[in-house]
Amino acid sequence: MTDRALEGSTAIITGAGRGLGKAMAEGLAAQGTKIALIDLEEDVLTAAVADVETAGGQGCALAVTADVTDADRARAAIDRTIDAFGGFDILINDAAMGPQFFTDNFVADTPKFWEHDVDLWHRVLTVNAFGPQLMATVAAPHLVERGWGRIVNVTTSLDTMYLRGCGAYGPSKAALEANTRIMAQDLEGTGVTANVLIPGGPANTRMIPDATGFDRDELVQPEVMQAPVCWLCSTDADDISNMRFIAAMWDENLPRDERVSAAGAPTAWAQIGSVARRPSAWADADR
Amino acid sequence: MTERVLEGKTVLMTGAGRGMGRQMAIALASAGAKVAMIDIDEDVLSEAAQAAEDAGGQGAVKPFVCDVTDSDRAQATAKEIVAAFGSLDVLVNDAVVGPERIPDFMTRKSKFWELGDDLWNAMLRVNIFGPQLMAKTCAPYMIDRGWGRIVNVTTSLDTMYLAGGGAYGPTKAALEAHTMIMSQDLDGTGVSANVLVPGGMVNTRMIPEESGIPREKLIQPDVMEKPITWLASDASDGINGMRFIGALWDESLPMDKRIEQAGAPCAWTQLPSKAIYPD
Repeated sequence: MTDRALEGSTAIITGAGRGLGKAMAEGLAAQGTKIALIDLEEDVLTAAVADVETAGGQGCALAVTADVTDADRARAAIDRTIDAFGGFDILINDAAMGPQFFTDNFVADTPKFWEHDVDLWHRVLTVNAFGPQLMATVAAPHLVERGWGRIVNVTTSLDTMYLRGCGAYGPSKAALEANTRIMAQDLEGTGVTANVLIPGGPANTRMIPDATGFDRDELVQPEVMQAPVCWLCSTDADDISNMRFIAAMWDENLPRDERVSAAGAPTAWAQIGSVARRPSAWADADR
Repeated sequence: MTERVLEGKTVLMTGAGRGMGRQMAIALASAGAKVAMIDIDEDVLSEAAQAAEDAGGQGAVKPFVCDVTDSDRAQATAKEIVAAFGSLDVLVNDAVVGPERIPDFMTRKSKFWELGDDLWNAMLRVNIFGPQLMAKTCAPYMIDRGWGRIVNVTTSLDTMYLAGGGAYGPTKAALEAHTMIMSQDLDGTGVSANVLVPGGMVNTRMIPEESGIPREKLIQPDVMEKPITWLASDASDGINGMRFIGALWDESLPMDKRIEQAGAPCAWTQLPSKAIYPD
């Protein structure tokens, strides 16, 4: 994609200072999307804005320092985006505290669940699960009112959700995965979609410290996120909601439908099926 | 149940004041266990503790008013339990902030952006951080003795993404995943971690009267009694990282068939989607 197919759109990306968030910001900016980059750290954010403007042009990026778990700051961040760009269409929830907060090496040195610091465990849970819920809560009414929009949540591989040694990281992502499925149901018919996008394995970001011993070139590179996120944010994906996509399996050479089925699946663990016993008296029993 | 198969074991039951927690506490006490019953609501807890003591006998039960998200209180409570009963062998994490806290949750289905942040966070704190905190507090006592059980009550896999329930489903997804982590961490210690769910909508306060569903059509809380008694006993030695559905538990079947019918691996391990790792 060399043309600026996403010209006219605006995205809010949390955790945009580095890693996958920054890569997605650069990818979208190159396609013409205006980007509000949200991160905790101002220095990191300033550097990221420069890189995003290199990709998308002068003035395409706005730095907003905010904690995604703070309701007032979240609202202020979205108001600032609207002031600067006249509105927004896309929310990408990428901000997360990764396994590196619990261990330098989740491959060989895996602390047990009873060894984790209680406050850290709760903080990670809050950032990774409540943060996206809060941002989506603030963003959704704007998107629904415009009748078009995207929520993209970055979770993790299904088996990483129960990877030991990483504290609350996996469980918090399981919660976000389930919540994405709820968001997609709630947004049905509004023109706004909710999907999950994951890299597909450990990615070359600070979440995977050098101590893990992985060859960094062999990790999934953050740039794999760019093509699928650009597609998800395009009108070509208008009918795509409630799905999870694995970026590493996204192949632009394939025809659209084959590409979607190669990299996509329903969100969460819906393939296991509907198993809860609900009385038929409940009108919605089959949803 | 006439056999006191749990004689000599001490159980900590959270959310023991009502619903499934109360029912399980009574069943465990009548099977001979000492039961420390935890709830934040003192009134319902006293009543439930009395009922459990009636079933289990004088001195079988001790009620504790305790918030499962309060680290200091949890530690102090665990110490008191060990002092009173001599050990702490089984933890059942049943306490929960349920979707019934959302006004008209079964008739109106609030959208995710209409929910209050405070309630969403309270669910996150009580339903997933609470079990982690209680498990962290209790596990060392069990590991020291080389035997123990952690049983987490989650929900049906498709209820984890039930629209209108706020954070309820997502918190249960997190607890389900976390149980799998606990079971891996406990491997080889003699302590196990498993999930027990009723299997659908249960006749507790979580399904309000205004839902219009006849109460007798709901799953009754007593479906939890037999599987929790088995999980808390020596008979379930070696069972780790599994989820069991109370409504499918059939004591008339031979043990292996019973496990096959009501049990499955914890979480969504059946699904093929695996992370790609460098060689």
